[in-house]
Amino acid sequence: MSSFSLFGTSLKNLFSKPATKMYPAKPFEPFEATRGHVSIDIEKCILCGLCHRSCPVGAITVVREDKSWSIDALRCITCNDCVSRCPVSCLTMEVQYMPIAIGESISTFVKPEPKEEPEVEAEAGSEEEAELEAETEVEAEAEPE
Amino acid sequence: MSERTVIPFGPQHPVLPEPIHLDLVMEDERVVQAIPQLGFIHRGLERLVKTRDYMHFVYVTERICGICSFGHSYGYSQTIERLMGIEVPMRAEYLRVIWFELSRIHSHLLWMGLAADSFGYENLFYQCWRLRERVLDIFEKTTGGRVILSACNVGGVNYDIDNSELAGISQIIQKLKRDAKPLIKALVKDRSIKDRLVGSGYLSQEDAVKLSIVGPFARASGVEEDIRMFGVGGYGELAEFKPQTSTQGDNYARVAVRCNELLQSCDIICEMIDKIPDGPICEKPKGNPPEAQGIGRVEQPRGEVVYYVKGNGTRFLERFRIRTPTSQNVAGMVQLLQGCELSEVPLNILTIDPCISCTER
Amino acid sequence: MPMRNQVSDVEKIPQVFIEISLEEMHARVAEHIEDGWRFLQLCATTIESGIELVYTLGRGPEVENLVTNIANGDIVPSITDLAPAAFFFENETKELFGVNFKGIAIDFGGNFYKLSEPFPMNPDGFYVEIPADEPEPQVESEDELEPKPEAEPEAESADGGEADE
Repeated sequence: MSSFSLFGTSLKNLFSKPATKMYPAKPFEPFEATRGHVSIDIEKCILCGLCHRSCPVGAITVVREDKSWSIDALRCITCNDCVSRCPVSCLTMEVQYMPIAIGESISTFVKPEPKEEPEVEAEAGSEEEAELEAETEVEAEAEPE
Repeated sequence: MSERTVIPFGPQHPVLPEPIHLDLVMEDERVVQAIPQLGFIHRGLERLVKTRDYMHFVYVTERICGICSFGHSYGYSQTIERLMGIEVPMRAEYLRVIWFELSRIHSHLLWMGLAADSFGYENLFYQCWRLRERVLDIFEKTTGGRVILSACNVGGVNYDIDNSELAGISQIIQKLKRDAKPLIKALVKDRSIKDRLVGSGYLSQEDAVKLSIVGPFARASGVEEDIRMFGVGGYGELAEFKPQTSTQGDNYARVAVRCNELLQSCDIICEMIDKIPDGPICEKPKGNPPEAQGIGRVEQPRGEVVYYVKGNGTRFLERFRIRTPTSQNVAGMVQLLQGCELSEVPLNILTIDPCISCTER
Repeated sequence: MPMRNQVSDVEKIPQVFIEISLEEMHARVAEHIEDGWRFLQLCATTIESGIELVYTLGRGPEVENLVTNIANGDIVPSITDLAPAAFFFENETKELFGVNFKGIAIDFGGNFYKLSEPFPMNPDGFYVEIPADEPEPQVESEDELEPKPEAEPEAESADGGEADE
């Protein structure tokens, strides 16, 4: 029978550095395999919709007509199903956890049109679009000549 | 005849990992009767079987409980595989056993900390939980999550661990076993703790068999039953397996049985890592579950869990039910509380290792 | 590809599902428990013609299931006199499916879970009161798991009050 069994351990702990990580003074270092959030490289996406069908909670929506891919970060359970099933490997699981969201948490990505020089985004201003159209019209006229 | 008062215990109490309410009918300082009341965390997860197909339902089973998370996905996968006749590759079975035994170590360390806290030994509580962090770091390095692993699936496992990392895990577990021994010695050999534990909360072997109690609660009263000794899955590859039992039947015996199981799990993990073969890790299932019923059993840290599955030919299951050990042990707990003193109530409730969120899916 | 090269004893034993009628259920369970079988679980499933109850018993590596079909409104005899741990499952089945059991050791009277809709797993279920022609057996000895008569209405009225609010 003994008493004060943890005396040695407690004395050692008194003079060694703390067991906890000093966050937020030191940054948070996740492991390589940590499942934080899903991100997409929209240029590689072929809009097949496999991720939309395999998501168990319905966080991903793929609309072919609009060429958009959107994810609801608050619904995602980071199960890694979509990442493992993507046939072109455009989805990756990043290690950082998403910041706190209040209200809307859906992020939408639109696949850019191929063969246009600058990217045509949905929020692009009308002036830029008009310039692009003028350039392509000139090219179309120059070719047959 | 002295007056009787009713003291409510729970649902919030520092010693309980999950909410349960008890009405203790007291006569002075002695408990005459305890009436349990459950239902605080019932989420109706069994009804989700109608809207999630059988492959996606594994993510629901993982989220039933935080402590027993991997065990539920393991048992569900095993039951569906037996129903559909799927053969799992050997490497996947070994990996499943490794993660399952790690899950057992972390659950027992959590319980040892809570047990120490229930009689006021907070230093030991924090030391146990500090040791548990090493196991959670292993989980995060290999699967990406600390508590919800999403590693087990019907047909195999989702992540592979390469052999160099496995050798590193073996080193970590051997060091954990060396560092856990002073903590176990403090819990089991200290004189003041022995005064609290020996002789209190006694349950005889006949009562344990009559109330059909399972898990370390029953093994401490002399009932030698453990699902792992039937050799299902990766457990058939072990050289030998002997369940840890004791014949004393009091709180001290239950603490000792869980500490011995912790040390035995460390040995099992090192043995599995030495013997693991190479190969694929998953065999994709084809088709839907047939129109049949099936039963699967798994030994979780708290006891034996029974899974009942009924398929109907479509990709949605007809019925799925989990019978958790705490639902059997509640009857034993009510028996233990009759006649004990008020100060022993938290410890008596904790010795059955209640996991109420598994019980009331 | 390396597959499991030995099948365990448990998997060689086929899973047994025996269909019996409601009247012989109690007697069959009593026979099994005397033989050394242990009560494992009770599961109810909603089927078209009513409810299917599966009682599972285990002994060592063997598992035996007794299956019976009942209609909505049938009264089932309780097996808590043989296996006291079954009170949990019978109360749960009563609340989720609307099956009434006669003679449960600790009877919560419909207040086991606090549900917002009645019989969520069985939309056609309804509750049938047990006919009061014979008094329910009250055992007075302390080491049985049955509550004393004065404690039961106390717990029920407390729960009944909360449920009404």
